[in-house]
Amino acid sequence: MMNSLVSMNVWVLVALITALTLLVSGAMAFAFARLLGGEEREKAGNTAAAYMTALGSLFAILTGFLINSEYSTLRDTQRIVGMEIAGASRLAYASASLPAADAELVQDSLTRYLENVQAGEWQALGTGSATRSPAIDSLRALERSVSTIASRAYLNDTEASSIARAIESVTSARRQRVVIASQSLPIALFALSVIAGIALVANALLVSVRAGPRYSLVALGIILVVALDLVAILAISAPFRGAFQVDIAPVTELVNELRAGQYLDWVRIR
Amino acid sequence: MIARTLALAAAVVAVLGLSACGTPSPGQSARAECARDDGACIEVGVGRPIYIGTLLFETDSGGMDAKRSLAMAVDYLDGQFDTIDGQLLGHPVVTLPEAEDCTPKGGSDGAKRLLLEPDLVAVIGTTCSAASFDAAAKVLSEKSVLMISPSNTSPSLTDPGLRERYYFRTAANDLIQGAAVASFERDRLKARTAGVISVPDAYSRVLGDAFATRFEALGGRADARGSMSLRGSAAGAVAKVAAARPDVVFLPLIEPACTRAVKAIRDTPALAATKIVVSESCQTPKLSRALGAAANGVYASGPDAKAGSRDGFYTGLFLPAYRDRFGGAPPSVFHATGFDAANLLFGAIRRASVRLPGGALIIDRAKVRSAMLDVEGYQGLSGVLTCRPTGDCAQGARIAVYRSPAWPQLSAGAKPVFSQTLTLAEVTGQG
Repeated sequence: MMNSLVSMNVWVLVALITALTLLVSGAMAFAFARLLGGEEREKAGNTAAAYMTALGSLFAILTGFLINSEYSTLRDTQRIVGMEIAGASRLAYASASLPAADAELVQDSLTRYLENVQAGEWQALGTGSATRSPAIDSLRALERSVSTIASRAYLNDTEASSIARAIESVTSARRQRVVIASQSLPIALFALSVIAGIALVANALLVSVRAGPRYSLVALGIILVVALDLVAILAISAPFRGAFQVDIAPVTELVNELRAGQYLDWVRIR
Repeated sequence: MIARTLALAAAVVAVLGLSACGTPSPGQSARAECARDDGACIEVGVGRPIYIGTLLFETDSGGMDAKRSLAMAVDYLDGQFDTIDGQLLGHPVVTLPEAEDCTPKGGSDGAKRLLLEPDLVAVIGTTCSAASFDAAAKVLSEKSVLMISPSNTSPSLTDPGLRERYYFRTAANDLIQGAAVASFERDRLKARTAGVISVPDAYSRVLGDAFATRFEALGGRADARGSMSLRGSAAGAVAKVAAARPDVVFLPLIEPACTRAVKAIRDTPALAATKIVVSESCQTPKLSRALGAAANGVYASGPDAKAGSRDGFYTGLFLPAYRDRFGGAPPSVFHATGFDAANLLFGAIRRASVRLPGGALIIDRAKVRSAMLDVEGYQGLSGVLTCRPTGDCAQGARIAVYRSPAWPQLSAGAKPVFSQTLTLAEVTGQG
């Protein structure tokens, strides 16, 4: 259920959660209107008004915490992708000093790995099947060719260690990506936020029921804010799928540069 | 109202449809571009091979060396010389072998046979300049098929007025060898007169001319000229040269003309004191095997394969792997240029190809040519390569002269008696 929700397109998610929240709110408003008489409405409204601030704060703290933590994860993932691309580009630069046949080979393997990342890595990580990513085999091939070349006697220590270090940073960044992809939204906290949101909406409805239909717009505003907050949490909580994914553009850009031969010293770039 | 809504919805769908049409996939745009290039494109399906033709004179050691070097380069596509072929962009490389016989007809016929394969991407060859000039190079260029020769050296092939558009070579232009041999004979051998025996083809005659022009520019006289046929007797040509009793005779020949000419010179008493210098095509074990001790003292010029190479890769990896695979040292100097030719081609294909989803490729042969022209300062086994529109990729070369029996093909520790590094710009007066 959660997996399906976090994988949804942002507009579908907005529509769905808003509709759900409106439905629940409508049901509550209907129930309050039917169950509470005039005096009870007044009392309930007064009591609810006293708790508005507390409930509002509770909801804000819970959703704020979740949004902040999920956004940090998204940002960290983007940073890790950046680190991986930096490592890949260091590898490409370092390989340029190898004998020409080796340089082409390393850069070709690197290109294939990045192409596979582009083609299916996000999807594999998003569905929790990192081991089925097409990038795994190409990363293995890249590591093998780099370690074979790095162990050869005709390379000096600097050349060998710089390509070895660069491939290490690529593989460790990928590992971090996989770890992040395996993490999921803390369900208990999210459930608590939903409950706080429902309580806040109920409170707002009680206040507006007491104040009269003209003030129901205030309650509607709160209902929409609650819905959008929940949408925001769901949308950013899966960095490799759904609404707000980690940007793959740096990978695409490096693939294009490698294909054009920009990291080969002997290729004139027009 | 309903009609208006429907019209609005239709307009939205149309706009979306048009915007989808406006952003073609990489495959669509590559195909469209190919159509503009007179069908110079090849679509390589998933799992299908990339076809590279070879057009070589395999009974010649240079041709055999080029064939072996291509096999080594395909082997090394997986990063190891393990006799298991690697892949290029995820596709196997299949070589289509055709033979040439060092004649223009042989070159043209071989090129036409290769063109029967519609998915032919490029050709490595020819061995002999004679098979390229106004022959294979022309036939292949007319069909936009790139040709890279590891051993053509004739200046005519890259003459700006005569060159073919899709022709490249990694072997050094003979203007360089001609000049270096002239310097060796004038400065080291102190020769004042020189003779030249050549075969009337694009390689032999033009190298002989390049040498003679330079020798005379250095103050010598090189007017003793003899001409023979490739498989005919050398007696007439040697007799003609012997009349002038030159200090040195230069033989820009290929086998079997080479062995015959050296033997005829050795059998001519008037040339007993005359020194013999042969060009790189004769620098093979065949000559010493055929002539035995009579071959001793013969000088051989040619590109110094070790000069431009990264020593470690060449000596530590390539040469041992070559020996392991073929049971001996490379028989000619063209193993390095052959390996470079194949790798330049593979690199150009990598840069010029469009990858389609799933692994299929579109290779635009016109773009492969452009990618070759982007090569500048490639550190190959044979030296630094920069490909110019004339087709010359070796812009300079170190020419080494060895004295038999200390030729590198006969003795691993052979040291040159003379070497000179010259650039094409220097010898053409543009440097």
